[in-house]
Amino acid sequence: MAKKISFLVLVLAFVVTFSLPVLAAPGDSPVANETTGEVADVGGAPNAGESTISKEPEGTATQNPSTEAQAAESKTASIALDKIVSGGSIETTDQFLVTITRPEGDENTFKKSYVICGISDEKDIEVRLAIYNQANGLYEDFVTTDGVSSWDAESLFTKEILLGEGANKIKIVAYKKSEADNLKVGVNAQVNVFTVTLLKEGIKDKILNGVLKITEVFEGILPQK
Amino acid sequence: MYRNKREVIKSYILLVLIITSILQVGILYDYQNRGLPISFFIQLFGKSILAGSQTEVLAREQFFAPYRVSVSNGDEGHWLVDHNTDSYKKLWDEAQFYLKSIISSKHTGQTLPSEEWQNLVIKKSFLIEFKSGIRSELLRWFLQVSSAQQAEPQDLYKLLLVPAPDQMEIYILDQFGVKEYAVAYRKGGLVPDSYQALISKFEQDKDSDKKVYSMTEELGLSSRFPISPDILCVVRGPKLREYPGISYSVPQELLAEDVDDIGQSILGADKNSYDNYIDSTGTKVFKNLNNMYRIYPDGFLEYKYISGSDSSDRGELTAAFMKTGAFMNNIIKLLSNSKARIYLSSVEAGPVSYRFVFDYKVGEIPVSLDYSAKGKDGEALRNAIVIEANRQRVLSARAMLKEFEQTREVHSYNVNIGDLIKGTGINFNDIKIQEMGISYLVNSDAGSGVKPVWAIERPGSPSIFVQLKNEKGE
Repeated sequence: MAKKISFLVLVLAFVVTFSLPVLAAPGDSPVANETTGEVADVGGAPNAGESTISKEPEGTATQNPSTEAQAAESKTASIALDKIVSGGSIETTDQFLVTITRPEGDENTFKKSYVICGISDEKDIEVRLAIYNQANGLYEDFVTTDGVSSWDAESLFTKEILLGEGANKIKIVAYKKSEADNLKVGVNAQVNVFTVTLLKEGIKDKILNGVLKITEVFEGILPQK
Repeated sequence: MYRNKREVIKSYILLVLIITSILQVGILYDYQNRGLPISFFIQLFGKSILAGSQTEVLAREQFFAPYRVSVSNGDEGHWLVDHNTDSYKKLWDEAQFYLKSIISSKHTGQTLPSEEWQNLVIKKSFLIEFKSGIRSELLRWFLQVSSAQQAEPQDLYKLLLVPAPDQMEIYILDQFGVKEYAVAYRKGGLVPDSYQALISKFEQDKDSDKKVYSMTEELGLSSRFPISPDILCVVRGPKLREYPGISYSVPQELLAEDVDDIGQSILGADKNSYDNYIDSTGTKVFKNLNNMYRIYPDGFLEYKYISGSDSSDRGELTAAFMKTGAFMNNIIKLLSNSKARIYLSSVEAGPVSYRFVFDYKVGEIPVSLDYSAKGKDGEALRNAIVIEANRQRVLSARAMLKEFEQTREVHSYNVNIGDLIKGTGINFNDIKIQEMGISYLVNSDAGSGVKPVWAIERPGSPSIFVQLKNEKGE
């Protein structure tokens, strides 16, 4: 009997110990934003789909309260933006901040290299590019050939990306940087989604030769495992 | 005896009258070069003045050439064809053949709307561009076709060759729209496989990605904004591309201390019929009853026909062009040491004269002039040579004479169109863009190590020039 009780207590202690980090309350110890390195408060347990955040860097001593507030705002803004970018169910909007001239709509191509092009008449606009990850149902930052996934959209922008075979569901988010702490989709944040499908070269030849089977069309569209 | 003497004296007087009559006829025949009557005889026997047929040949060879030739693989890949290459010569030769076929036969082309051009230029094709439209009568003269056909293009601006399996499809962009023709392949000329081989040569070049362009149509720009659909721009591959610099200076012949030597260079044997002097600004002036030349220290040349108003009508374009060609020959001789070539940029018809505009090109890069005020009239100068002429003579000319050479130093510049446009403040809704590209900007007396700029050409407005940044962003 004693053995059973002690075993149960041990198991309970084990469960409680490993549950403690999951149950962190608001206002607990600060953590750092992995991308900016800034120190900011966490506004609650991270939910599924939000970008992951890492531990606070060492040596983060007490800071000026206004800097902390700014950092907190920036962190909140960043999380809000990340949510818009990564969210799989965010509604698309009209192109009221940036006119995307390419792609104009969903399209198919045989060319791996694809150029995204757009024009903005407004200043203070940033554009962020993401691609849909079917595995987790979220959008992830899509890095262009010059190594960026976001850029200032001042007048004309052209960015080259490399497509994966099959359907590439691309999300383009444009927003006003000065209002990043209070982003509202459709008001100061524009969201557009396009599907650019990279077809197999073999299908191109077969289309040209006039020999094409319906199944092969779908094989070319759907990603191969 | 007295009667014999009288007859002899009469004979001598008659002989003198006959000789002076011949001289007067000669002067009237060639009254542009009024001066000592002997100049009439010099022209009959002198070697400095070209015979008409030689002028024609030179004018055709020198000025009937495309502004640019490019190749498209139909898959968003466009490459420029260097004018010094065998590919250029073959393509231009083929283009001339097809043009001649179209305008000398009874081919009736199909007229397509202008908007169709943007769909055509992105096909697998070869694009031959002129800087502006070549009027049909001048085109016939260049191609040595005598009779006009109803279906001929009125104003050849751009020519697109699209090789099809059985025939060549030709599209001509002129002021009225797009005309489509189909012509059988030339016997002994290039066939579809040869054209494909030309394209493959560019695709497979080891530096292909450093030379490839996209067209504004492929970026979706021309369908939304007033921008030409066939402007070549860099959006793929390396943003940095290499370009040499240039140096330019006033031709040595114009810097001679002896004014007579300058007169010899400009006027040839006719210099003796001109008075010359140097004014207070150092400008050399050559003047006679009909003509005046001013040569400024910075190489600017001004010519005017000053013999009252010329009441003759403008006449035929080809006759005026012949006069212009003869005038240009002397200029070309002056610039024989220059590495720049001169191309015909535009032809405009006025009420009493034609206006021929010429510009410089160093390699494949055009030279843009930007002088705010030049010459007696103080007018801006934005082209290398501007000549007004009618069927009888050149009426006026303004020319900035410079010798060019490429420097050995080559630098890399960021020519990505997005990066170039950024910071210019250009609103694509507000301006109409006709052309954009690399250019050398000339706006001073002399320049050394002049770097290229990005020129944005707008119809009816001065061009905008954007400084290129090197690999350091400077």
